[in-house]
Amino acid sequence: MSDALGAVFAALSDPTRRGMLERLVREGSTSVPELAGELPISRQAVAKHLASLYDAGLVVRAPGEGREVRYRLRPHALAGATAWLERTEDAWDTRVGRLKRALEKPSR
Amino acid sequence: MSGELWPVEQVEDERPRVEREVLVEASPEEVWEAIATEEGRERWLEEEGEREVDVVVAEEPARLVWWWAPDGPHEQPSRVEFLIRAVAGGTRVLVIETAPRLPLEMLALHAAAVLV
Repeated sequence: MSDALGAVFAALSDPTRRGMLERLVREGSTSVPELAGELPISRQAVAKHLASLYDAGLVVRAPGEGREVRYRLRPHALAGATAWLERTEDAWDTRVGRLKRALEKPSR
Repeated sequence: MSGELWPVEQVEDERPRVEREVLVEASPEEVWEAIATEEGRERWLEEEGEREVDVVVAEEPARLVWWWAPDGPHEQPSRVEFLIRAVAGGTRVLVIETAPRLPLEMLALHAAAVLV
């Protein structure tokens, strides 16, 4: 296993960090103060977890308001999920049409 | 989608999913025959080529669940659920296909692919 892949697995092995990622999936971005306000851990611990996600390439840093640093998922991180949704939506649009026609065909 | 027609607990899942609903001018039994039997499926699914359908729940004629996967070495199986209800003018069919992986798993695979 490459070190890079090892970093990803290590980052994902921690439930607190997985929770942070799931939050990013839902909400788009977060910051150290935001997370520290909601999780029962110190700002320092939050910053350490985010740094580990950053080192693993799972999140990127972006400037927020003032001096705040915001964290986001790596761009296109969910491209696989989006592509699946689009492909599957198209496929079912076609299939339900075919199902309807197959059942309503008078010559059935 | 009409909330009363479909029981909520059957469509709740945290994975991404696609839902489509269609009104068919046919009886629930005819719909069932078209989705639950191989001969029936050949009439509307065969153009997509061979895809093995593994039926896991068959509550005739109201609810059918199968797993399937597109051909390919990296394709993961996904779950497809049909809910079938008689309504005025025919039968309403709700189909829900659930993504094979959780968003987090997709993210992990993406990150791994970028970094490797």
